[in-house]
Amino acid sequence: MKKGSKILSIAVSLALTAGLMAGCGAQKEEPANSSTATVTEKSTVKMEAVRLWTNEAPQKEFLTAQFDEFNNTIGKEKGIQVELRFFGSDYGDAIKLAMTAGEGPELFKRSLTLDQHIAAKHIVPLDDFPGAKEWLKGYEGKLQPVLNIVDDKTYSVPFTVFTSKMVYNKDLFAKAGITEFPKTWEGVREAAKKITQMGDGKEFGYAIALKETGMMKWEISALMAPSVGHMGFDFKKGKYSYIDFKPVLEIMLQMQNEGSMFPGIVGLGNDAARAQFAEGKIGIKASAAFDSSTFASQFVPKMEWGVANVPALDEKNRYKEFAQLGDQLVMGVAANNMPEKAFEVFKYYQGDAMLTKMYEKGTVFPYKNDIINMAKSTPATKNYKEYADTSLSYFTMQMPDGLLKLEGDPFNNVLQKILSGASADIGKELEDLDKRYNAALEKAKQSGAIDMKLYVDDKLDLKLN
Amino acid sequence: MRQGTGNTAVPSSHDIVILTWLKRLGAGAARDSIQGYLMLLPMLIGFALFTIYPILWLVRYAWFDYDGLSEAQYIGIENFIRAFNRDPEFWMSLLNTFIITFVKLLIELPLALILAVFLNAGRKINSVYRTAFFMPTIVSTAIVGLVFCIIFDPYQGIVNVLFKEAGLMNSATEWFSNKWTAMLVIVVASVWNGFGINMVFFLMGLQSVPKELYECADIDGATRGQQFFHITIPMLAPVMQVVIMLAILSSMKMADLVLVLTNGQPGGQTEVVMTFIFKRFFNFGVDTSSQYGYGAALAVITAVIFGIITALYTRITRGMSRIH
Repeated sequence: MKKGSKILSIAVSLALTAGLMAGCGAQKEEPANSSTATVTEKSTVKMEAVRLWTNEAPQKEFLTAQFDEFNNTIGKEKGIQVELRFFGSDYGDAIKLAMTAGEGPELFKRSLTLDQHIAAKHIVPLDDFPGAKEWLKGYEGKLQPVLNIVDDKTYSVPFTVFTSKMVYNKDLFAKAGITEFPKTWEGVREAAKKITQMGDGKEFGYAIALKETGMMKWEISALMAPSVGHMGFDFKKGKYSYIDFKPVLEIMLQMQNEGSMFPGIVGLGNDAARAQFAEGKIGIKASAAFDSSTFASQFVPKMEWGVANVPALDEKNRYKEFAQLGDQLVMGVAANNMPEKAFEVFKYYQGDAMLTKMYEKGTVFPYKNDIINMAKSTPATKNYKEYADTSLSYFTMQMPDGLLKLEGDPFNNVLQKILSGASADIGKELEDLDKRYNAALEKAKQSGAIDMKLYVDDKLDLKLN
Repeated sequence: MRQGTGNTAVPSSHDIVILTWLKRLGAGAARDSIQGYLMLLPMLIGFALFTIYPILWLVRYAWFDYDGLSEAQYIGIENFIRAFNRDPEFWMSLLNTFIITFVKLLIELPLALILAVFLNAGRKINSVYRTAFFMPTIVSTAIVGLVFCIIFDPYQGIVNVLFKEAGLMNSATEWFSNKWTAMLVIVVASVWNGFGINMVFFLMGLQSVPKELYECADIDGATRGQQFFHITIPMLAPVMQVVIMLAILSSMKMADLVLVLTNGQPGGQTEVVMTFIFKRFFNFGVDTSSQYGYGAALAVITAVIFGIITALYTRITRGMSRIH
């Protein structure tokens, strides 16, 4: 009995050890469309799994259905079994880890800048895939350096466009006697003041979601483009110039001092800000194109609301508005093991047919107007057309931030500090920011980490008037 | 053992019995040791993989310029020079950590001790209170952060509403717009989240104090206060030593609560050292490249500082464990 118990305890400890070691191995999630993997293939075509990873979790249902269809049609014919995997907020880390372990997928949605993916040897150029050169001709004139092309090689193609707009509460505007959305920041300040005065401590003129570091690009930087012609990095001069933000930031602070700002913006996250806007408590708020679906399903405004272009500091010296072309998939190094099949999946995802379906559902803003013409129906999403309007926009190049090893606080924290009223001297703060960013840029240039040719365009003219 | 003839020692039958018994004992002990080590093996492997290896990784990369993507470059002590000479925000976050830890412990430990003393009696109602006071400990820190965000929300938060109703406040107080009020909220949330477990530790300590001591003190005419200061506190000293050390370490390692509650706002002024290091490692919404090497150097510096504090604390308080 005693001997038996000893043997048992040794066996248990060994089993635990084995279990622990097994736990250290990569635990693979069942792919979203794994049910199709059990389909018996009777044809002579050799079936191969092509892995596609994305963080487009909101589109899981739609994409799963699309690739189930693909697997049962084109996939069957060409021996391709697409395995989709959807990730959440840990997507970037998942890609890094998988790539480092040599277990990265054949195709994935870009999680870093192209430069970073290339430096880390995560991706391979599209040009070398069979039939790619011919297929890429369809994108002539639409591919951008850094965003799609690096060292004359194409790594991705445009798919969507992101715009930055303002949303406003039409009911509060009417209550305050304002007939149209102001075209200048001074006009915004005056409108916010009137709305707050009429709001009786319950409704406020303006709100900034200041809590989230990542939102500073959309809440502040993107709004600066019509006033100063850049979002921090001046592509014309090839250097950072945050000091140009100062006049607009001062107006924002003035709104705060006048009590026109929603209470507690320092602790206000973007979800909370959008929820308060939907409740009718906020008059004006910055809003990126991705808010369109949020306002359609998650925080549905209870009042009449509109989407307007971003105001400028001086209406007569207005620059174009920020818009950014967005790519989707890149080819992982594993795609080289099955180039024809991987590229077939790439074409299916990036193709016009898929983009048209996504547009009809109102989940993406297509990068070209042809898609809108091809669509059988227009999205029912409210203000979709206004969000999609790029008539006053420029398509920005990629800023070099991702290649910088910055010392001290990034621009996000400095803007948060200024707008929370914690900074005694805005000018000094912004000058220091420029100094640190430009020093990091210089360092990157000297180390060869950055090719400035890709980040300078002295002919760039973003003036509207 | 009896001395034999000549140069050799000849064991007696009694000696042989003893030797055989000792050998068996040795073999048994060896078998027990193997079994013991095997039992420990899962934990040891886990400890080596998930504790020792990451620490070694961290110490190694503290000497490198590494962004997690491109190849790491050895840069000697540059990361440490940067931390000591060019990063005042790091030292401010460390100072914030000490301030929060000090204020938190100043409130939390006496509160936990007082509650433990009151709830030590075996009345039935006390077990209800014990459970109620322990409840906040089992709530996830992220939820605590969210709850206190809502409670201290300047727009419709219950604290502002109560203050306004009581006539103590005219306009909305923006708790998170000022460094000190934001830190106060962090302390309050942290005390709420942590006092329950310390109360339980103190209760365990109190229950091990022999009742005879109080009976003797009663006979000698000692008051309740005298009993508390001259019996309870000294008898709790060893427990207190451990509780205070654990509370100091857990407070200094605070990260999740600050990330959820203030995210370092306003303008990074409520950043604590762990959130500061976390943000250097993982960017956290910032586009510039990750700085694993620098983050590792900051982690090493912080670990050394925390190690020194722990060693000093252990040395200063070593008398506490010898009282009983």
